[in-house]
Amino acid sequence: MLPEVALYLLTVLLLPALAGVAVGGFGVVMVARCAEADRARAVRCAQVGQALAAPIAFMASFLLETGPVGLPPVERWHVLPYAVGAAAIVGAIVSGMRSAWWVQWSIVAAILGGLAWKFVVFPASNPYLQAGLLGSIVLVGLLWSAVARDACSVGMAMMAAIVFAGLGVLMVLANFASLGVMAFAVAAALAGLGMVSGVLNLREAARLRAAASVQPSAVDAQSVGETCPAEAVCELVPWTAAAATALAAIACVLALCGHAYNYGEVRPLHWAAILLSPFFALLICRPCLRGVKPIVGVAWRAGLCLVVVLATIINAAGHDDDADGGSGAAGSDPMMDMLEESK
Amino acid sequence: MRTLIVASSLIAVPFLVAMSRPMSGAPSGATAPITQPAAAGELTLDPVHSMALFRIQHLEAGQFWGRINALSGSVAWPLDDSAAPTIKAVAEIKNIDTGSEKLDNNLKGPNFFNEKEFPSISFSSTGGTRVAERHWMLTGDLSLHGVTKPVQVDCVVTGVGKGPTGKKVGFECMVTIKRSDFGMTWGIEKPPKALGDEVRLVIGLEADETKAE
Repeated sequence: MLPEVALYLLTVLLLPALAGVAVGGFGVVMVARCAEADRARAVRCAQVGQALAAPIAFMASFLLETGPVGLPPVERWHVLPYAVGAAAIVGAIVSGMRSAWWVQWSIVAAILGGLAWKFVVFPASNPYLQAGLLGSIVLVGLLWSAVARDACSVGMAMMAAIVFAGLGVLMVLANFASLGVMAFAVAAALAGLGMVSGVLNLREAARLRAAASVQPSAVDAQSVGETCPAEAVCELVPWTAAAATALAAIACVLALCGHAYNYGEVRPLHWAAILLSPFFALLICRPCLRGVKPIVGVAWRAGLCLVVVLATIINAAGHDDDADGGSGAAGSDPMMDMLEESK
Repeated sequence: MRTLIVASSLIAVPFLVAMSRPMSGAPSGATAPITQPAAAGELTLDPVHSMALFRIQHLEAGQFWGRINALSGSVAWPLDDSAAPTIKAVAEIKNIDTGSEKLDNNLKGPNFFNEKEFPSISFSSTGGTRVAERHWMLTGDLSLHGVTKPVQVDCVVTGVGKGPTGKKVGFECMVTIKRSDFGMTWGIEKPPKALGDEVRLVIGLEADETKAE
């Protein structure tokens, strides 16, 4: 049984995650290999790949776990691959545009929020819930865009990975294991992308430092210091607001899906806390991290996010246990059950 | 005066005797044979005594049993067994009962029954062939998980008794289905062999004679 479970996890979790890492990481690798002068175009291509990484992981996991779904979908949650596909397309196109972060955020939030409001309808939905979905995509998108601007690409990817992993755990607690596995695949893809970015960013920083020390005349030490200070993360491919907003939209839709099909004790506040957990990473602002090693900055931000996510999960799991303990489930005192029945 | 009393008694006695007989007109006594073919009376399922048991293999090992309580619906069956029973039964997924609330919730979720979208399972028989006395092979449509498929149900009349509202008829029906036919595939291949594909349903029905309004 164990090898079969391992093979299953490889199929529905690891392979999709690797597919996401491949798409997202390929661009970063290409940028790292490019000459500095030719990088502008390569960076935009890599940013498109970065926007596609998580959606590809999700859709691959969905396809391998559930199989292809028709249109219109038989079950309402089968709208997810279409919603994530739309987020991938919009996020990628807008990421490739040269525009200010707020323009990117506005376009992506408006399009994806509108599409979700109209087409992503789960059971027991009502106009207020749909408006809430639209509002959450706008607000969480804004928050994640701010995080993408403030944190480095590694920090952003790691925080997003923590959020999706947290959503996955909540989905398991809500008795929606298959969607949980898909969220884990997205988390693994983002974590992998973060690691690839981290390694290449550090290599790039080392290369620039070496170049500056060997050929001080060839490389303007002042400009190197400005673009990539010795103790900061050297950003090869920063996250765009479009990619961050699209990722936030996917997270919001997954959270609403988990809430709509919740058969556990997961409460709306739990989903909201996980979605908003990157806010706490913003408390460690960029000036606070001046002079510290890049990995310390990432660890602080991701760590704060992780603490919030873990606290939320522990709280949700506690509610789940309470509910099971007080319901006369198997293993409880039969005398108490009889007393309950007699009431 | 005496003549009047005697005459009244002669009129009243047959009337009282007639009043004291059961309304249904069926012979009294459980063992009495059914001599007159009864009409295909409409019987209403008694939810307290009607349930469906399901059996599925878990991790290629044990056969796990669960039940869905409180079936509702109706049965039309002539008490003389002259025709196949026509059964319409509905099982609400919210009444699933495995003895573990966590497992119940898991089964109600979208990986299995998806109760929020498909809140009930229904069976509606369309015909039947006689296997033996009070034993029928019914054909009908089973709707499960949003998919309707024809199935054959082995149905035995377990007895005809009397309840507080009139006659009570018991049925025990069995059917084996492949849940993958109904789009319920979680656990068959992914995760591999967690649960079997074949599900045996044993349905116990108790139906009451419908009261005349």
